[in-house]
Amino acid sequence: MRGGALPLLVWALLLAASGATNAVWTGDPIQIEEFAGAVAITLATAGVLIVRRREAARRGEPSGPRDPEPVTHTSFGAVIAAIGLGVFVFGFTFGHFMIYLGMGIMVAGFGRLALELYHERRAVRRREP
Amino acid sequence: MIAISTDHKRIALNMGLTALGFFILGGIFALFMRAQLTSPHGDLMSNQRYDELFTMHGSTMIYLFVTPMALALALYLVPLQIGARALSGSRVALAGFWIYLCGGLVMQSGWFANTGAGQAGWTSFYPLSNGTYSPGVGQDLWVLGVILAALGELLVAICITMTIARRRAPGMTVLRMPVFTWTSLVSVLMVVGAFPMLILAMLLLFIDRHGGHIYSGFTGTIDYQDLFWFFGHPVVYVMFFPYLGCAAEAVATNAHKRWFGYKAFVASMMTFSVLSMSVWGHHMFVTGGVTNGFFSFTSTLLLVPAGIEYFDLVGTLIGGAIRLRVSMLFGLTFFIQFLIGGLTGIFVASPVLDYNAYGSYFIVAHFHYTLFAGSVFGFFAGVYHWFPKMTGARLREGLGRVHYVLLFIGTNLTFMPMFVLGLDGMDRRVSRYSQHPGWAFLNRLETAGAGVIALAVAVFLLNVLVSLRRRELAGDDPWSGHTLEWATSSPPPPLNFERPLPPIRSYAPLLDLREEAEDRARERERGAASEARV
Amino acid sequence: MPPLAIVDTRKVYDWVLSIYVPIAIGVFALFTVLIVGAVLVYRRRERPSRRHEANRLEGSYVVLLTLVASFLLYITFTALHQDNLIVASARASSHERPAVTIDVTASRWEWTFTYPGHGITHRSGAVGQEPLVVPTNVPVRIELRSEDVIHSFWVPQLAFKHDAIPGSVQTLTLDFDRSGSFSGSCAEYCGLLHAYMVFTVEAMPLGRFDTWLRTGGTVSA
Repeated sequence: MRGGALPLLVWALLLAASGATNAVWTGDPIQIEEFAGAVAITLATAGVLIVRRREAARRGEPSGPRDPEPVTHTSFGAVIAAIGLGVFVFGFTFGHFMIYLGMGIMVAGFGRLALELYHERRAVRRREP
Repeated sequence: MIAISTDHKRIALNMGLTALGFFILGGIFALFMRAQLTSPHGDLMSNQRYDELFTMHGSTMIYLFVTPMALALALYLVPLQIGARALSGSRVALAGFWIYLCGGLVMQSGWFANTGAGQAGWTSFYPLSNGTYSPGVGQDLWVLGVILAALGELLVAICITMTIARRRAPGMTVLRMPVFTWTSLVSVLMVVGAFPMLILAMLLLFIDRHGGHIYSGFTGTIDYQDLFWFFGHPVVYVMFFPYLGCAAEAVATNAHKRWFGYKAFVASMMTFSVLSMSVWGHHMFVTGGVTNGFFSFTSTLLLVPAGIEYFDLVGTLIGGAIRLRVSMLFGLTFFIQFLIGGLTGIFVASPVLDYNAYGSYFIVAHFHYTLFAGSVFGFFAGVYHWFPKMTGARLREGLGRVHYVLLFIGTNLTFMPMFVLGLDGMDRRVSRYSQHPGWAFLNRLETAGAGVIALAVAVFLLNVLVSLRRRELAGDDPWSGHTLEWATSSPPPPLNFERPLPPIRSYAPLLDLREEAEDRARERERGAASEARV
Repeated sequence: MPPLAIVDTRKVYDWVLSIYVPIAIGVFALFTVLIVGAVLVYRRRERPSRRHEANRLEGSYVVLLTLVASFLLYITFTALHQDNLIVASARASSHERPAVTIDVTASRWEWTFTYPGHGITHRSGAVGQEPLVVPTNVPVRIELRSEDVIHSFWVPQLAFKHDAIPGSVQTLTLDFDRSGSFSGSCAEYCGLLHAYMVFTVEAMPLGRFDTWLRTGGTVSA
């Protein structure tokens, strides 16, 4: 975890510098927006890491994982949700019934996913003192 | 169980095998195109069929093979190389693989539509791709397929980013990550930064196709290209960096030396990837809608970080103990052939030269030298290098050499004449061409070359089959590897490492161990010798 | 660089190419020799060296690369400036008469060349093969339009192309420095008959061109 956000921050900084050069040189609004968008996404990703653990933004050697972690082997829910999304999108050309079918499958997938996560959390809690 | 496993190795293998299937499909499309172009007025197929073929060839190769294969390699190897036991967000990665697969199927299902598959080119420029000029379900399926594939790839990339950030083993600082991991990290950062723009552009295109009037007039036309190429150029490097990493690892291991100039390499990777996010306008030099000077400036600057890779390559080779295994042949050829693609890339970074080259076969030759003569050779370097780790069995060296020689001949026979044709004025994306002196001959050479490439791929598949059927056991570390994936069994167990990891003090921890052992042995010898003298 | 007066885009292109190509061949040869040479020399050696950094050397090499990039950019920007002068300006010609203006309209899948004020309209592409007739050694103004999708106006002889984008008029000034018959085509994929969207350029001395224009295009070139 330690230092994990650093490459993202450096990268976003360099990209911002490049975008600033573009802004000064071209002044093209859509190009400036694109650079800003990419920098924002990278910073948001780095932000998520830092908010979870402050050490993500600090230099130094990472230590091992501290909290017990659930081990996931399979996930049926994720696959069902993904296929549901595929069916949903396919429905836009093939026939509208598939849009509803896809949404149904997605809901089932997310339901199953929630169940999987619930069992995992419980198993972790049982391991903790 | 295989299909729903959240083990990163299993997801990566599924994704890699899917991508390989799309590679063969896209290759078959290319063979049909080459057959049509054997003579200036070939009558093998209609114009429409040819347009579908080149559109789907480009789309299949870019969205469904080279990019997801790069991510699949990263998904398999990065957690192993940084000593992680599992992936961060493995469910998301699993869903990402399935969404990508759905995207591929949706895109290819266009072949069964009565108006045919997508036929507006892999770039699908506006307004050609709108509802008026490309009506029909095929183009809709193409747009939706691209959205799904890009979304799937984006999810996988996010998981790899998070894994690198959160799950490095104790001691594995950012500046001790192996070369391949670094190339993967900058690639996934580019996916995270650039792919949302593609998804946005395609969603807007879909709405526009159904009466939404999103892009209109000159500005809309240029805006589409700005959005598309903001993804479209970075993806070129997503399709390059991980394969550069493959070639670099293969070369370093086969030279029995750690990769030279690591810090400069890391710095170059950072600047390389940022610059390549800043060059997309060079695809628009002839539109009159971008500032050509800026994009010429950034594109030409790419030669600085690219030059560093070559310095590091030569530095790695000098003083090495080089063994010319098949992975080494592919790795070295990757660098040499990519140089042709890179140098011609510097040509077309000059607007004045691009004014002639744009839209011609010169460009086709240029990007096939980067993507095929480059990336695909890097891919095969990676396959020969890591196949023993992934399966426990080695690929046959003899068949591998045949595969290498055929692919080398076929590649250059196919793509070298395209430079000449392009400078001579032959347009790309044409099913018929004029009876210009020499053009028919050069095109016939290319078709022959494409046949040789097909043969080479067949030999590769045969090699895989033979090597899996009659296994030559590889053991954990057949090549004296440098990085942590060689410190576990082949194939690795579900949680990657059963034995404790060796201490991590550099980007080549296993080589460190070997060098320390060597030093101790030498000291002992010296000690024994001096004792004997006393 | 020759003086601008009679420079066409082909001359600028050839000049840039004459500098880029030798450098590229030199770089390719250098690295190929280094890579193949190193492999041959260090093949089958037993004890690999442990040297893995040469940061000072690499630093100087980066400076060298930056100089090469700067040099190439200097060449390219000079040439781009020349091209802009040729192509984008509607500058007064050194000749007595103003530049000829030709309306070039691209549509699926034909080119329409109109000479305003002369009542001449030529079509080329899927429909016919009437050439684009231009005078040599005077600036030719081209007003490029598209009626539907993006097309690209390419004359390989001039080493120049420019997109015709719907909703805009792109004004180009081109110089043809020699008489003759050259091929041209659409360089942006535009749909089903893209391959047929070709044309011929007939470039002729100004005197003959004037006669051709006066007679309403009836006297053939």
